[in-house]
Amino acid sequence: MTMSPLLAALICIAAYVAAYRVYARFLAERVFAIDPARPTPAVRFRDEIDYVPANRYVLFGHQYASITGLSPMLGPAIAVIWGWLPAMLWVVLGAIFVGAVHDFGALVVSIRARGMSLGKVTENLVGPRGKTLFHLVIFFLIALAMGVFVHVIAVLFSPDFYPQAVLPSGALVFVAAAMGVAVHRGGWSIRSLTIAGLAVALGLAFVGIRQPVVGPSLAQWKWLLLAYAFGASVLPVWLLLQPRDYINSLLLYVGVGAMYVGFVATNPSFAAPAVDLAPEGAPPIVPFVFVVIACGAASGFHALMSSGSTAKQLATEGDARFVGYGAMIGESLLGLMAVLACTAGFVSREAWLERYVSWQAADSLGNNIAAFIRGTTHFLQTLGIPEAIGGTFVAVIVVSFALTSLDSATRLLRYNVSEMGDTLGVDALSNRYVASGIAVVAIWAFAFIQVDGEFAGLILWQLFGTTNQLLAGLALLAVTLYLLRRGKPLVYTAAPMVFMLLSTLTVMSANLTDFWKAGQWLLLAPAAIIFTLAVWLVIEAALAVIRFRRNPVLDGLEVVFREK
Amino acid sequence: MSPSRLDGVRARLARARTLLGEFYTAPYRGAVARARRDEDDLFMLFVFAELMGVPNPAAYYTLELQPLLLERFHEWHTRMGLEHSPLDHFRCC
Repeated sequence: MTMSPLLAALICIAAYVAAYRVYARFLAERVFAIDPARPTPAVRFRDEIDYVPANRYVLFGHQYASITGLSPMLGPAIAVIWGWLPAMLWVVLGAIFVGAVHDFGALVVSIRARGMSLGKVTENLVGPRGKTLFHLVIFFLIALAMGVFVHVIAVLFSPDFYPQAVLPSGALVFVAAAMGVAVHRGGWSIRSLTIAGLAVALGLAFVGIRQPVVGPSLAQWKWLLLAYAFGASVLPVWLLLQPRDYINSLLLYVGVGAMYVGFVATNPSFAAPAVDLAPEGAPPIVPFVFVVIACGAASGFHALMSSGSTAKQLATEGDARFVGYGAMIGESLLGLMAVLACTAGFVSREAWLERYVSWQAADSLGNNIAAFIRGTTHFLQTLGIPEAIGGTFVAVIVVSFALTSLDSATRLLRYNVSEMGDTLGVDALSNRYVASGIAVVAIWAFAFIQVDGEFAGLILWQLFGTTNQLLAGLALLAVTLYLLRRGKPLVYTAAPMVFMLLSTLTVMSANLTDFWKAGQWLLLAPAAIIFTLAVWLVIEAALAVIRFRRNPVLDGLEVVFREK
Repeated sequence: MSPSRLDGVRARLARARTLLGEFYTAPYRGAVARARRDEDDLFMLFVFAELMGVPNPAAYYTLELQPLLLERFHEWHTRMGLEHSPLDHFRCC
């Protein structure tokens, strides 16, 4: 029996809708005890700065754009080496039962904890020493991811890939800055600027095709990107980050929409096999597929990054399902598109086999992104968009994702450095130029330093995936503990938690053994620290459960913060 | 199109515009407000510098601004970590 990709996609979308309507509602009512009448932090602490009730669609759009980055495209592009079925199943079922539950739970705990992010709530539980260690690990991981992003963008800009995307991507930075000035200083209408901005963005794709930029080398591109990251981190948010984020989210909606329309119009057939359990050189599918596809199915970083500002602006608890669970389903749609693009976006089985001949061939980030771009371009072609233009357009969107992640993450690293400076009592670290400098140097290290002829960031990339999943497990653990102390059903968060922890800890111990055998101490050290930290947090949680069993006093729905 | 329908369309367009504006401002509202407040704090220092014994060549000009900023004075000095007005001859709370 052969399954048509269109039918498969329809089944998946039906599953999403059913999950949102039935499962998410059940979670909201029975597990998280959502009560639309209970005032949220945005209402209780309204200050017009951080705490402001906002429209649910606005929050959904923001949450969706901030959790969706490059990663939902990266993971599936590798994982389809095991065939389309496992990747698709994990993207859809993972999102429904793990990822969206995780995001929803994190958001609910956040709004019950004065709008603090789940990360902050956990810090409050583990004390100052754990907190600094936690910050160090987060710093390390974000710097690692950004080092890899810098590398990937530089590769995409190289003559072999998409040099025609350089000019539009660069120009978009200036378009955004112009928009920032026009809105902030000139008070121009956002609607007309939006139309103008999108028109310019599309027009630039045409200019880019005529004017590919091929001069700079890989290293030179990386230096330029680092300079950009530094600039974006020290400039005021209204000038660059705000308009860029805005244009970027609109591009995301236009892009994902166009890809799905193109996919439906193309009605392709699968070039990939449904299942291939033992591709050449690939690790065992279980548990590796759960780690290779992180974002798109489940991602722990969502709890750290996005829940803070969303939770402070949620107008009623009733919106939490739509914003928390719904936005993750939205991200999963992009993950599903990546699976479809990398399995049905190829012209023939031969073309697919050539690309996915072995794990080594599949496991290169530049090629992965290129596979995604090529697949979606193939879908867009059916809509009458020529390959050259469609490819450039998708490449610009991809680069713009990566650049937006880069600039906001560099700023996040900067705040991280300042905070650590506060804890350690080093005033110099709160200077924005010093803190941004440190952040950029850390990113530089992962993008430039080579170990055995391979960039450090790329070797450690898998560590990012595993830690991301590990964080998801730990966040679910925190949510489960929250529910435990409130006498609510546990299995809906506990089961995905156990699943995530088991699969990531298995992959991590396999990695640790490999690093140990190969004598790769540079890789062993960070992996071992993260592993230990995870085990430590699990033990802390187990102790908390034991304490609760001895003295089972239920708390109110609000999280009470421990005084210093 | 009947007038009532036209009004409906107009109302919808206006709503779309508000939503778009919100979508632009909401994510960074806090950051922008904080940056603006920092600037304002510096401005307050300029205006009230002379009163606190910090020589300010522009004092002659900023004197006029003092009554305008007085309402925000309390908020400012508490944010700067001073529980009461730092000035002997200038009571606040």
